[in-house]
Amino acid sequence: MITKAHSESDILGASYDSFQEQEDSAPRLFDEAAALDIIERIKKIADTDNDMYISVQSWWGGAQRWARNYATMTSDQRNVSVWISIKIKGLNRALSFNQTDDNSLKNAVDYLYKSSKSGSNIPDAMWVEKPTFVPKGKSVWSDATFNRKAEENGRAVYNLTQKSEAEGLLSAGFIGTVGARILNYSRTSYSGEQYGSGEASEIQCSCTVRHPKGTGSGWAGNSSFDLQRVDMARITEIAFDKCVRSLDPVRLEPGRYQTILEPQATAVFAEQLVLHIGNRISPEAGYGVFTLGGDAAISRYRTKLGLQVVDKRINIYHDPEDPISGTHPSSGMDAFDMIKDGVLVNFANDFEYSAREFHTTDFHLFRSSFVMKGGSTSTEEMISDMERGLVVTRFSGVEVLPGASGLMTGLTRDGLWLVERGKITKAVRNFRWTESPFFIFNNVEKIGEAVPIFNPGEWQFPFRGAPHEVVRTVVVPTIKIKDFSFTSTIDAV
Amino acid sequence: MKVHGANSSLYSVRCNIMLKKIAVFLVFVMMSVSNPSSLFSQVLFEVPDTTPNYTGYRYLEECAAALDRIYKDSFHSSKLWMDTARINYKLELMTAYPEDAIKAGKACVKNKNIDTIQRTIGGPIARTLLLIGSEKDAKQLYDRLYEGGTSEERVKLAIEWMNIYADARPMRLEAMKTLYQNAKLEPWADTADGVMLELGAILARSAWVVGDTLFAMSLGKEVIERNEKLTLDQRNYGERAGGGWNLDRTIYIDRHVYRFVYGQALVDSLIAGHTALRGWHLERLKRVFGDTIAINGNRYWNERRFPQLTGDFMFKSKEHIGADGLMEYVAVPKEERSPVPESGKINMIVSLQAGCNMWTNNISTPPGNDVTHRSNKTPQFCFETISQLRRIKEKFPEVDLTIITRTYGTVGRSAPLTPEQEADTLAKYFLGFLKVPGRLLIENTPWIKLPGNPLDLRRVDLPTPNQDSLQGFSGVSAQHLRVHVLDADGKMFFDSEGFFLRALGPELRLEEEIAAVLRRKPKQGITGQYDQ
Repeated sequence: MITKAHSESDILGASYDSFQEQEDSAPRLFDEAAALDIIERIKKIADTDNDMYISVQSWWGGAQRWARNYATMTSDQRNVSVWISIKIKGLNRALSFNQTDDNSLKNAVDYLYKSSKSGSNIPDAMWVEKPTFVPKGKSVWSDATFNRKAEENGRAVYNLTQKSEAEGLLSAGFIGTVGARILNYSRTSYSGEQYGSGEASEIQCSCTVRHPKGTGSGWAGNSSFDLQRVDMARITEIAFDKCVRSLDPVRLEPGRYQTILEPQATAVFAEQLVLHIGNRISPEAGYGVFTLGGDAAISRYRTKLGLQVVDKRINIYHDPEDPISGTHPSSGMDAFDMIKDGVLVNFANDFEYSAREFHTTDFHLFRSSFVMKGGSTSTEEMISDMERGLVVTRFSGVEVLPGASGLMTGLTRDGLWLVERGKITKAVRNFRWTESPFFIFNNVEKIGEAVPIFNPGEWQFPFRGAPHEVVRTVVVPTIKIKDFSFTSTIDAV
Repeated sequence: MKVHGANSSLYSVRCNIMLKKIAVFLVFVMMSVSNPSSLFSQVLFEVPDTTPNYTGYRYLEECAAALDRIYKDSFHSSKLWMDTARINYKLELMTAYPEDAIKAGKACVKNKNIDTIQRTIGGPIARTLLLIGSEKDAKQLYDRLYEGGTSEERVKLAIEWMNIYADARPMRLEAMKTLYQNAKLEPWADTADGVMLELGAILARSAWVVGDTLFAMSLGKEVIERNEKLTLDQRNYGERAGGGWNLDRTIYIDRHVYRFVYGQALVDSLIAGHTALRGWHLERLKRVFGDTIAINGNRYWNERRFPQLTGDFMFKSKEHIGADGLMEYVAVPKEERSPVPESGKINMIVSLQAGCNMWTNNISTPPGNDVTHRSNKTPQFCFETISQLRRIKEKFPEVDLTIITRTYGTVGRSAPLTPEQEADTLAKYFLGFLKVPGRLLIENTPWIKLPGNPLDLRRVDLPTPNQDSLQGFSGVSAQHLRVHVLDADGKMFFDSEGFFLRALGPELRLEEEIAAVLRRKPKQGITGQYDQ
């Protein structure tokens, strides 16, 4: 049964007045001067030469959620978080809170000292601090995203629900905007005094359109720091189109099929690789997909660094200056090649690991934003020369299976089609699949243009986080694979 | 339910009923494992027992289980037993055993035999052999296995003991199976994490008694074979034994605790595979104890002369606490250093090759691992151990205490340090902060970049002179600390591997050994020379 959508007045009427009042009474985010004022006040209250970190974060989020053609939630939230850490008796004592008046700041500092009454004084030399990572400068930010009004989200949803209602379909989805600003202060015996600030904004929009009888489903979505890069009209159009085209699917025998993975599906495998690359400890400790084997002579596990692990055309990297990936040079992260021409060239690790294992202070932190590139074939071209195969929109319920093979399993979802003699002929019932990224990326026939996909970051601002962690920009292509293992049919649509 | 000395938040109302069931059952199983005829233990945790009578316990496991509780409870106690602070991996301060618990523990441990407690007296025999009987019997067994008789006799003896162990195994496995079945009925998902850990800790302890094959099976056949090969290799090359086992034991316990839900299937498979594994063990024993050359290559090392140790840096405690609360110490120039070990004195040499100030990094090492790799540093154990050293030194001031360690390029979470910086930091830590009442001898570790892969920048530490000197003599383990007690002639009188605080038994033992060595008169006098 289709629930009747909100009327226009319900969505766009008086309920937005309260948001406007909130807008008028306080800014969405602290500016840098306000944050600096808090930091200076804390420094004055603490009045110590000990190592100290202070992080003042200001966060705003606006969201619009709808389901079954019915707007279910509109929100506009804001918060501030102050995080203080002072090294007392050799240990870092930390506290976070969201009150910024003098009395609260004083209570916080007092608490840190009171909580450190017990215990001995540990020599500072035992815990020599690492260089502090302080995000600097303007990072992933878009004024258009930040200025997005709740009413505009409401209007977009209204239009969409009107359309789905008119066509007898059900739609659900989420539009979310986040803005965040940080000012970090750090003073350590190792790195001296540092200030660093950062900003981040993000918009995400995803939409599912389903047939009321449950016989078809379409999905589309996108996320970016920049509102201009998220075309909501196009997203809903795709979701509608996929829903209609996926109606009344036929059942195919499970097995190995030549398969085209759309970017959202490709990303599932690419992200697995990046996650493994982001954890140097695993392969060097003898487990995970990139470990090679124990070398008794040197008492170490060899890794696959320097070896070809995927198709030679594939490159995976993070480049802050890459305009496509949408991150910015000043995000605090350096350029980082992960897979170059199919060869594994790097792992990420933290400072401590570098200091201990490499005897150096150079290190690359894990980054969740990345680009995977390797070709420019269009999806239409891939379909046109396919004799018989499948096109996958995306996956759901993906699980990583234990073991060194990187094997994963999951379900296809929201659009699976059969291609016969160069044309999409039928919608197909969903499959469960079991595959490994290594098998996928070593059996690539064609690679498309890399495009940003739906991959939103943390909705809440990460604790003591940096802006680059808020926005995860993943840019991956459509790929055509020689064969893909679909292991069973499933009834879910 | 009132557990011995329990005042922990763990025992909340919510957890009470469940814990009661689990604890009673676990204790039953645990005790069943140690002694099937012992039924009194079923009510061990049921009786309100605020003044536990430790001397009433008949088995070490009971002491250990009770002490484990106290240990946990003491986290929440402000009563500091040690004058050093215990710090967990999150840099949170923790308290240790209260003084009365220590006394009670000692009373509990004293005069107990070592029924079913897994003990490593040294040597390459893996944890497959549970020594059953008194400690004296165990020592005699060890001597007979390694020193006396023909290879046939040794094999016969080993098989005899293995059969005793293996005969009781099906019963233990059945007990484990019941344990798992019962545990499965409990609403795991809704209980506090603490309950899971609690159960895990107890289970791990009882699983220890269940023993070797459980551990081996949980790791898979490949690992069994790998360890097997490692053990044999080490024997054949006269290397120290046990590194691989220790490593995998750690993995095993982790897996056991966190993957508890798979335990039932695991035990089922163990029951099914019992006969095969028994045969496998027996075959292995034949190989190990039938190899005369290997046996001779790794003799029991007591009464052998300890090698002279060297070091690039030496620091000495002034045994005076300065204004900053740290013990004062002084660097000893090379020309003023007395030899280690010092002739004519009772020497206690503690090998802290890994440095107990390091942080757990969960780095495992491949087959053939050597002492150059640092892993699994657990500061709290070290802190306890250092406190033990202080107590021992206080009791036996005539004992010459030396800690030997080496540089690794970093200390704790530090940036890379030069050897000089690192030595100074270590001195500040061991002598200053931990107040070790003795000397600290530090070797500079040579190292290279990992060869053969320019992209792989790892540092590979090379063996140091002390490590070479002690190779094949007594393990200088990167993963364990090791204590050597030498008599006035410089001969090894006693040595102990591992964190010797656990269940307090080893500390008591160490005190007894030192008292014994002090009674021994030097044969060569104070001018005795050390030969290798």
